[in-house]
Amino acid sequence: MAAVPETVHRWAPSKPRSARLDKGRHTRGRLGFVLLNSEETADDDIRNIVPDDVGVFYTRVPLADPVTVANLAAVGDDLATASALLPPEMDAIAYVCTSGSIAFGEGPVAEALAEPQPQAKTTSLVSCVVEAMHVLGMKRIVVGTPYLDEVNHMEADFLVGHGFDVLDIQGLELMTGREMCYVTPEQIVEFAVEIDRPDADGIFMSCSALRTVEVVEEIEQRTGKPVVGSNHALIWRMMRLAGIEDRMEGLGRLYREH
Amino acid sequence: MAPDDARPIKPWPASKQRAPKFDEGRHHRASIGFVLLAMEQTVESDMMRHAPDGVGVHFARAPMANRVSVETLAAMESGIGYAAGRILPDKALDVACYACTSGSVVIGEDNVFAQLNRGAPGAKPTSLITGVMRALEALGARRIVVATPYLDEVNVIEANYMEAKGFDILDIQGLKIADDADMVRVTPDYLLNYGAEVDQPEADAIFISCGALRSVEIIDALEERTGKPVVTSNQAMLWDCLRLAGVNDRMDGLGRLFREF
Repeated sequence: MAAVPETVHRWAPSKPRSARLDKGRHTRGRLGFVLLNSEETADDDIRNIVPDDVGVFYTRVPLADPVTVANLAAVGDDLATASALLPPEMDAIAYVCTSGSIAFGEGPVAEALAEPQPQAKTTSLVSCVVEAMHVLGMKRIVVGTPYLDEVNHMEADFLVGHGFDVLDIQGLELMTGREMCYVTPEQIVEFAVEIDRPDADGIFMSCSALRTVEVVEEIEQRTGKPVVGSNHALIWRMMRLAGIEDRMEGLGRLYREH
Repeated sequence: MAPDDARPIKPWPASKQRAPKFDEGRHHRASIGFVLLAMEQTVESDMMRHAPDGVGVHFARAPMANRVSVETLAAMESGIGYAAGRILPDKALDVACYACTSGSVVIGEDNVFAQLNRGAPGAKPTSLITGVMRALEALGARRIVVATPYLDEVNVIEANYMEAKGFDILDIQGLKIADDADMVRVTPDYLLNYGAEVDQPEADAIFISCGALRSVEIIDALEERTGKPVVTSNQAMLWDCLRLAGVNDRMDGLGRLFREF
């Protein structure tokens, strides 16, 4: 008969010790990221770019497929709960979904994330993109996305509302977040080069699931124009919000100059 | 030609047909999901730094109070399934792991596995204490000394749990730190001395318990100093998850466990 083992107290109590403490691993800042359940690109991108002495912490919210405007908007209600699950004393917290932050609204996203962590600077992915395009002086833009057209049109209206001249927006019309993570970096380059036009002063490749950070530099070289990707803008902006001003190579003009 | 002719106006034009090109993704070797305590601050950097290329490591958080006691640990059981269900639900994770040593002891491995599979039905479930015991078995270690950051009430439960699984716990010592925010601040140098201090001549191995401690940084140094294999929570967890996922790479810098098994 397998009995539940009785708790035995035969060990001596711990000796008094005073452990030596330092400031921990993450002395320069602490960044929190609320990811979608299907996300498997942003978490790697963030850890690969952010310096080791800056902490990055993740939690997740559920987005239902297909990725429609209605399903994107529904995620908003989970953001405050997700933000509450991040470790305390975050310097900055972001919601890592470009189209989702438009569907729920930049202001409501920032407010929901700040509710449990009022000391943190909070933002949404699309706010980071807008900031990045501003510092790069991009105004007349072309946009490439993996989205359905209903999501593209919402995004185009949003960007026009923020003063951008959207010359074209084109989507791969993928239905699921998972597929978006598997688009090859080579196709992202081809897609960006294809949608570029002479009158555009910059290219925005939208969506945190796309592996755009790997090819920003290449697209800039091929087109001669500044390029912004979703995670690319997110990570840059989050570091700057936490006061991390490091300039970096291999990630395009944004990280080299701003 | 007026400039406006070149510019689409609402309604926006439809996207052209393009055939998407997919590859096997960044994580073609395996995907591992970790359920973390809300206040966890060490596991993510340890896993992301040491997981080999081609292996995805992904995280979600389960609710729990900042004070680590038996009561708060047990209360988080239902949060494990909640968090596991949020990590790549349409991909079928290879492995789902609950990343808390004392939590997996208090809740019990079977309960943890049931919760993980409630959220991630296709994944092989494991827990931090499971990985630790598998690592000790692989190293042929039965008589163990244990160093922890915990209160003694947690130490006693952990020691009993491991003894019930066939290990002989010669000694277990804790730093009596209740707050996870302080556990992450214990210096690696202190952990090296602490591990050496709890060692005994008759011990087969030293186990430094707790995913919050920065103990992965001193495994090789402690093995060198004591001549014994050293198992730490995050080292054992990563090793166990990789092996369960069929990733058998030998790696340097993480002790005998990763070099030889």
